[in-house]
Amino acid sequence: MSVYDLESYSEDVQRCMRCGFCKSLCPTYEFVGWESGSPRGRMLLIKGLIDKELEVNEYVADKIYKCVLCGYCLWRCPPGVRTTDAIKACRKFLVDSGFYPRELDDLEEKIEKSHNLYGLPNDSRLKWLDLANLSNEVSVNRKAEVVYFPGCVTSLSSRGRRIAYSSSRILNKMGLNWTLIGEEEWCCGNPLLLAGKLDRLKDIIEHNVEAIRGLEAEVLVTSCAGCYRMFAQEYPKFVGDLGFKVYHISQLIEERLDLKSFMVKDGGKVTYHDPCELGRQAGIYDSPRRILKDIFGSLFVELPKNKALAKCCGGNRVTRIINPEVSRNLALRKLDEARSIGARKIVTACPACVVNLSEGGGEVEVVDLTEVVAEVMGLT
Amino acid sequence: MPKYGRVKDSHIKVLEDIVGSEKVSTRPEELYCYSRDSTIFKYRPDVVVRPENSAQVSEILKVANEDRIPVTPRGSGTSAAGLPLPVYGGILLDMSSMNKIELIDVENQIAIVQPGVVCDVLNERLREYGFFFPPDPASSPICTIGGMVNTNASGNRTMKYGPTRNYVLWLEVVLANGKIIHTGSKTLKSVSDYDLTRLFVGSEGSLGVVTKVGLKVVPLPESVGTAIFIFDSVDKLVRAATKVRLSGIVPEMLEFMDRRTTSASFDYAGIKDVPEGNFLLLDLGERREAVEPLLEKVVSICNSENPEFVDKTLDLEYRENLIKARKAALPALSRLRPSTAMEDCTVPLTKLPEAAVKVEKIPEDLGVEGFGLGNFGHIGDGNMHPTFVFDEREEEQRKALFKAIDILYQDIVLPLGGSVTAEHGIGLTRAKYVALEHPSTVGLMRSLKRLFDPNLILNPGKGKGGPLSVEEVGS
Repeated sequence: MSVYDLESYSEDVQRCMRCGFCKSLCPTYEFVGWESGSPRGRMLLIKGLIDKELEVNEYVADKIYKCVLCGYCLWRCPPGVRTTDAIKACRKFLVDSGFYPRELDDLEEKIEKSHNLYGLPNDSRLKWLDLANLSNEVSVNRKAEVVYFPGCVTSLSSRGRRIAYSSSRILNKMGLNWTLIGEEEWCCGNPLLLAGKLDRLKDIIEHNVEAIRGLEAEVLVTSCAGCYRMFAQEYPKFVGDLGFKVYHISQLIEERLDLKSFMVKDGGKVTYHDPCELGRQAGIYDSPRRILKDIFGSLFVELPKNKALAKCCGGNRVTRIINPEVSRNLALRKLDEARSIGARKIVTACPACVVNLSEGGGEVEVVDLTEVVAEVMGLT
Repeated sequence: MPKYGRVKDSHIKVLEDIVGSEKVSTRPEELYCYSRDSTIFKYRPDVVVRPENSAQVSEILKVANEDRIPVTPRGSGTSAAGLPLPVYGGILLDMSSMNKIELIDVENQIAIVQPGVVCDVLNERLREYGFFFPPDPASSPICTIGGMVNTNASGNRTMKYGPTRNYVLWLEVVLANGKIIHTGSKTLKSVSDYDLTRLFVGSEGSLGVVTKVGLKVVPLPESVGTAIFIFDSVDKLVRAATKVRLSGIVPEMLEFMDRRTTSASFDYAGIKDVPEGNFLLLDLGERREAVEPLLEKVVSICNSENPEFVDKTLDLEYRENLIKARKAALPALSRLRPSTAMEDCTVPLTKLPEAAVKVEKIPEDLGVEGFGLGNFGHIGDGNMHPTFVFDEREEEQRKALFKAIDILYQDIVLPLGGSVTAEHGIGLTRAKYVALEHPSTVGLMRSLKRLFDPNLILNPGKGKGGPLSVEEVGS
C-alpha cells in the first residue's frame, strides 16, 4: 500500500467506538451541526466508504473537506485513531474518485508549475532580501550548517515577508553559519497533502531533501508551523531518514538567545496562539512560552483555551481556499478569545496563522514570535 | 399484526415546514452516521430532524403520533446501551441544537438548561460562580443534560453527591401526543405533585421528550486532593476501597480500573511514572485544611492491603490527567481490540469482591480466542463496568459477547442481589433481563408506558418495560 492509501486506515476507523470525545472542541462541528460534520461522523463516513456501505459523492466530499485538520480529535482520541491522516487519505481517495473542490486544481497547478502556492515566478522567493536590504547579510544556496526554509507564505506574501526579515536577522544574531536554498526551494507540499493532491508530493519532497542535502546542512530551520510539521513528520514517511535535523525557529531562539535582559515592562497584556501544526500536532508548546515569559514576564497571559486545547484559527491554505467563511469565523473567534482576557497583542509562531488572524482586523495586534524577538533585540 | 407507519415524502414536507428544510435530512450519509452509538448495534432512522424549541418538538410528535411513526430522541449519541438507536426506523430527533443555558441563578441554586447542553459546558459556566452540577459521567466532555436526565446518569462523584435525579427539580416534557407539560416545582423542595419528575428521570425517552430541565446546583468544594494506588490483585483493591468506605470518610470519587484497563488508559493519557496494575483513584473534596490530613488517613488505610504503589497529590494538573485517564477507560480499551461492549451492573457493596472475581473469569470460561475483558467502575457504589473487548466482525467472538452478557447478569449479578443497570439504562442490551429483576412490576411498567404513549411511538423496542413496541406486542 502507498502512503495515505485509504484501505490502510480500515482498522483505525473500526477502532473508533464513537465515544464522541473528539466532538467536544471540534471547530467545524459547531458550524456543520450534523453528525457527519463531527470527527466521529467523518470516521464513520470513511468506514462507510471502505466497507462500501456508502457511495462516494459530493456530499461525502463536502463533509470530509470541511475538516480544518486542526488535530484536536487526534489528540483527544482515547482509542488512538489516526484521525487526521485518515482524513488526508480520504481526500486522496476523493481526488482519485473525482469528488473534490475544483478550486484545488488551481492550487495544484500553481505548485506544480511555479513551485509555490501563489503561482509566482519561484525566483521571487528571494525578493524579500532586497526589500529589507538584507542581500548582503544573507547567503543563498551556499554550503552551510543550517538551512533556513522560510516557505511560501513567509517568502512571498507581503505580511509573511516581515517574518522572513525578523527570522533572518535573528539567525544572524545567533552567529549561525546559515543559508537559504533560494529559487530551488519548492513549496514544502503541505497544501497538497491537506488537499488530497498527492500525485506529485513525493517528487516535491525528494527535490527539497536533495536540495538541502546538497548544501551539506546538518540542520533545517523553519519559521512556519506547517513546513516544520511537514519536514519533521511527513517527509520521513516518504523518504525515510532525512539526514538532517529539523527545528522550528522557536526552539533555536530558546536554546541560543538570552532574552531576559530585553524584558518589556509595559504595553499591556500579551497572549500566545498555539498553531495547530506546531502545538497539538508536533508537541512544541514550551519554547514559544518560555521566550514570551522571558520578554513579557507577568504581562504574558494564556488564552482560556491553550496548548492542546487551543482552538484552530482557520489559517490553513486549503480551508482558506475552499471554506473561507470557516477561516474567517475561526479567526474572529480567536481574536474574541484574546479580547476576553484583555490582551493587546496575540503572538503566534506560524505565518499562516499571522496572515489569517491579521485579516480578522480589530484592535488586537497580531504578530509572529520572530517579530517580537527581533523588535525587543533592536534587530528591525 | 399492526405495524408502525412509514415515513413518507408528505411527512418529510411537514417536518421541513416545522423546523426548516436545513434541519431535516434523509441523506443516506447522515442516516448512516446516526445509526450508531457506542454499542456495536446499527439501526438507521428514516429521517433525522434537529428541532430548536419545544414547540417544534410538539408539532413533530403530533405528526408522528397521528401516523404511528416511531420517534427516537438523541443527545450526543454516547449511549453504551443502544438508547438513541431507532430500532424501528422512523424519526430520529437530534436534540443537540437545543443547547442554550437559559439561566444560572446561584442565589436560588438553580440552572435552567435546554436538553442539548453538554455537561462539561454547563460546569465550565457554573465554575465562574463557584458552583457545579455534581453528576460526572465519564462522558461529561460530550454527554448532554437531556441524555443524563433520561438515563439518570451518575458517574464518578455519585458516592458523595448521588445521581442526576437528586438535582432535577422540574422538567418540561413533550408527551407522545404533542402536549407540553411541566413537572415539579421551581423550588428546592416540593411535594405538591406525584413525583412525575422522577418518573421521567431515567425513563430513556420512552415516556416523553424532555425539552427543558431545571437543575439544582451546589457550591464547589473549597479544595481537592487525590490519592492513587496500584494493587497486584482486584481482590486487594476492593478490600482497600471497602475499608475507606467504612472509615467514615466520604470521597468524591472512589474509582477503579483493572490491569488491562489501566494499561490502555495510561497509554492514552501519557502517564508513565505510575506502574501498571489494578488502579484505585480516590478524590477528596473538602475544606482546605481538611484535605491533607484526610489524604494521609486514606493512604494509611489502603496501605494495610499492601499496594504496590502509592501517591497523593494536591497538584490540579496531575489530578486532572489521572481523572482524564479514568474517564477514558472505555474508549481506551479500543486500543486492545477492535470492538468494545461496556456493561453496567451494580451489586450490594459486600458482594463486590465476589462479583469482581467472578466477572474476571468470564472470558476464561468462554475460552474464545480474541475475546477478553477490561473491568473498571465506581467501586464506592458497587457499580462495575465490565467491558468485553473483541472483534465484532468475527462471528464466534460476537456470539461469545451475548453469552458473556447472559452470564454476567443471569449467573452473577442477579443471584448476588444486584441490578442489571446502575446508570446507563436498560436500552437494547439489557431489555431481556428487566422481567428477571422486576417480575412483580414489569406489567405495571408496561401499563405506565401505554398510559403515556398509547401508540408506542417513543423509543420503541427497548427500555424499562422490556422490549415494548407495536411490532412486538400489537396495538
